Amino acid sequence: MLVVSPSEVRFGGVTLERVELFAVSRKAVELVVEWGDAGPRPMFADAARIETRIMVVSEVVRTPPREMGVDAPVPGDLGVLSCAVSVGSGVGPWNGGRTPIVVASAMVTKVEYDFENQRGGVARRRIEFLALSSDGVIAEISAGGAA
Amino acid sequence: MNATFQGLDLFSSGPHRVVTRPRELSIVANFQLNLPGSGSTIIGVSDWEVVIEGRLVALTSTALRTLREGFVELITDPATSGELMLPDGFSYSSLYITRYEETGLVAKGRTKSVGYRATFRNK
Repeated sequence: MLVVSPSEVRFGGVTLERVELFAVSRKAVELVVEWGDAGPRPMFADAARIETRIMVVSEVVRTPPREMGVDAPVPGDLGVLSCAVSVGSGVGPWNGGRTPIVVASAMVTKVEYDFENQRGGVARRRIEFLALSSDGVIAEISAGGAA
Repeated sequence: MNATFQGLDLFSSGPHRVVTRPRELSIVANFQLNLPGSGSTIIGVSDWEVVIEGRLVALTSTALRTLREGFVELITDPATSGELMLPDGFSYSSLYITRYEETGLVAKGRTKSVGYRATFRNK
């Protein structure tokens, strides 16, 4: 899932400013693969462990939000992450308003800056999050509904 | 075709493979048998072991437990022997199950599954 130019991204109750990109990646970090006796090809596969990671890329603003402090966010910070998407007129969840993508709980795993590939003289900040499920079964991310 | 034991369909929930263990002479040092002199004595041929390694696959934890119990309930004293039919059509006529073990954690993804190793011995 990739959201370009979301209208609002919030983490832990604080709005992250000038966000350009909100990208969700999912990966099987433990695969189960089994072969039988008859031939060389696998007959069974399952994703035993899955990770959902979210990358938020934003322009570096001169001053961080007051609530967040100069150093924040830092790896280990845990909070609710949400992303609102402004869409045109449509049907279903894309109802012409703002559709939220909400990650019930996400932890910051990395914060880094890119000064080398500046566009318009502006550096970028990348924050990576690991999404958490409340019970290991329920999906970490929900989407749809009115913001 | 899947392997069966005593006509029971124990293995078909997931892929499985057949491994045969070494067939060898049992040799004991003479002094352990209280026999005079150095050297050793052949006391017979070891039992033939056949191992089936595979994966039990189910949609629920309860169903997976039922598959596991299918093996465990066959481990009895005295042992009950039966025919082990292999997927290629070859069969061993008189084997009994001596050991069932799981080779890792239960994987809880799209399915509930666990690797296993079942050891059979000839009677």
